[in-house]
Amino acid sequence: MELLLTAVTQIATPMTLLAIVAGTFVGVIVGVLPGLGSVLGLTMVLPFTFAMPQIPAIALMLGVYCGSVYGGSITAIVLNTPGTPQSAATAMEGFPMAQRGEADLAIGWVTAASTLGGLFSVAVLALAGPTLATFSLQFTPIEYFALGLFAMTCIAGVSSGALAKGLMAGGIGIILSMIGADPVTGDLRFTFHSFQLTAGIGLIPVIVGLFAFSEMFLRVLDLDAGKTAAKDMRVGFRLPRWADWRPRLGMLLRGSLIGSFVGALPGTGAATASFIAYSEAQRTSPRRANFGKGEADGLVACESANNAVTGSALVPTLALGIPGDPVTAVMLGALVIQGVAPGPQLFVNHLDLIYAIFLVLVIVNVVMFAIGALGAPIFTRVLRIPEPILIGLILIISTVGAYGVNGNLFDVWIAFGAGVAGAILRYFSYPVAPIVIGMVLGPTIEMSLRQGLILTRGDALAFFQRPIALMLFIITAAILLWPLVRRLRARERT
Amino acid sequence: MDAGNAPGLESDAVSPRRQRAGRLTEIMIVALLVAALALFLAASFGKTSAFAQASSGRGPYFFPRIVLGGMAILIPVLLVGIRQRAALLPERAPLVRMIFVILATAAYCAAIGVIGFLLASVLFGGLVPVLLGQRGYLMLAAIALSYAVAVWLLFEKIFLIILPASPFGLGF
Repeated sequence: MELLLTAVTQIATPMTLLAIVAGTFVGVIVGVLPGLGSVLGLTMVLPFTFAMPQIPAIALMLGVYCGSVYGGSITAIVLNTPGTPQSAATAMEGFPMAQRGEADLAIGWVTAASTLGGLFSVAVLALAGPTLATFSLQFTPIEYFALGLFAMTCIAGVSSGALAKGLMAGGIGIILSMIGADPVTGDLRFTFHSFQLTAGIGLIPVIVGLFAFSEMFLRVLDLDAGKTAAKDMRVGFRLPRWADWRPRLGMLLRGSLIGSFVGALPGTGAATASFIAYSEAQRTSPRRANFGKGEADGLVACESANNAVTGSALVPTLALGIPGDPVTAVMLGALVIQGVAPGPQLFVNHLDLIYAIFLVLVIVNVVMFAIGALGAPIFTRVLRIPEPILIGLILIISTVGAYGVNGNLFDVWIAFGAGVAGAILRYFSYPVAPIVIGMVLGPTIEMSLRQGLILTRGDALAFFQRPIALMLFIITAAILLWPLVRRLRARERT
Repeated sequence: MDAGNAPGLESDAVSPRRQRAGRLTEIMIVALLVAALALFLAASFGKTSAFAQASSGRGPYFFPRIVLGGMAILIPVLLVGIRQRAALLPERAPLVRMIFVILATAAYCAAIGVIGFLLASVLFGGLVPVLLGQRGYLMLAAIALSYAVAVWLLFEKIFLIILPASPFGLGF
């Protein structure tokens, strides 16, 4: 109780509340603009967090995270162009509703379902986080090594159909993380006699380059493509009646459960959760005949699911220090800059901070509802900003993000290099998220492997004698081999 | 554009020349990866400290060699993938435009250190839209100026993050 009160006092400051409102507002705008997405939004606000105290900085990031997941749905409803991939399913029901003049009602459904789904996931985080952290206190380096490898399988999830390229990108990320001093012996590795490289390559400049710079470079290629203009559609906010809500409460609960479960798995994310919830709603809804024509069941299912991911995705990130996707990898990087070391010890030594994060998430979801209700007409106007102007402005703020971590121009060049490389790699369908995942997980995997070998006196087979580690190794192998098995089975059938 | 999207794989009626160029570029990417792997592998046989040598082969390059080995195994898989389906190069006009924006960004990164963040950002913020075909120079100049000043004020005066200053003694 005392810790909870401490958390409340930490949050009840004008700066934290301002950070929540500003973060959520920026997050919704980033979500509304097609293609920008959560990672870019988080990257853009990173420089603002450098000079902020811990709690407001975390509040700003969480606001952007949750706001961006919600914001994408507004564009999906108004333009039939999902602002973020996780809103793709929303467009299937939201746009037909908008076409029959009920855009305001669709936004009402989406806003309410997003808020309730988000709040549900906070409860999941509050329950599952401490349990997982307590369980993981008995982990030795061997379990951490197995867990690190298991988390790397999220590469399979973000590599959609290009597993070899994804694994190669993951390898690049691990190698980048090894540049600089060896954490065990202190020897300098892969510095190629460069003084600047002795401190290693920072995660944040690489993230800025891979996601913000490369995105802007690639957008230039698409400038000529005919885009749906933000027409003068009347967009407002109308909350559905309780009588309409009552038969859909089951759908809301199911969507929230799916989102919470999927979010905690590595490499899945809000888009997967949203589609699973949508197809499940389509299968079970008594109004399934209306699907595709603007049925609220579909909206409730996919929006509660994609927002329920936000809290549960933080479970492995905070409890184990293992990010499940690029969004939580960026969050992890930002937390480390703030002096927070995610992992089981965080739940033991800084429970007040954990409570503060829970409370911030609750407030963010409530603020998101208010911002959605009041700002829906404003957000659609953002879509009218000419893209050539937007590209220049985003490149400037991203450059500050790369520079601000260490106040070092070398980091700006790292970001630029990562941006060019990222644009080329992405163009040729190499997923870049695994590079970040590799950079985050590489040091954990290496340290735990080497510590584990010291513990077992060099006996690698002893790694398979510990039940939790063995189970994680088996799951990892199964996930990596599954695409191959599926292809072989499909070939057998044909 | 989503982080996982691959614009190069968009299917349309294409000339064989674009297809060939795409395949060649992909092969060049793999060749660069091979060169980088060879470079890092060679560096992993460099001199190590006596302490590292005493750690019986599990010194600083033990894990990197495992990773580099794994990446080397993936090279033939990537080459087979290119043979099966290669991406197309973009059309000439957007490609040239993208190269211009990349060059402008490189110039911006260099200019920050030479003329300071504020001046470089005003120039860059105005130049990029012009390069991308946006007209209305007065409005663009006003946007670039106000945005760069706002970002500079926010970071320098509120967040106290010192951004590179110009060498002209102007105070920014």
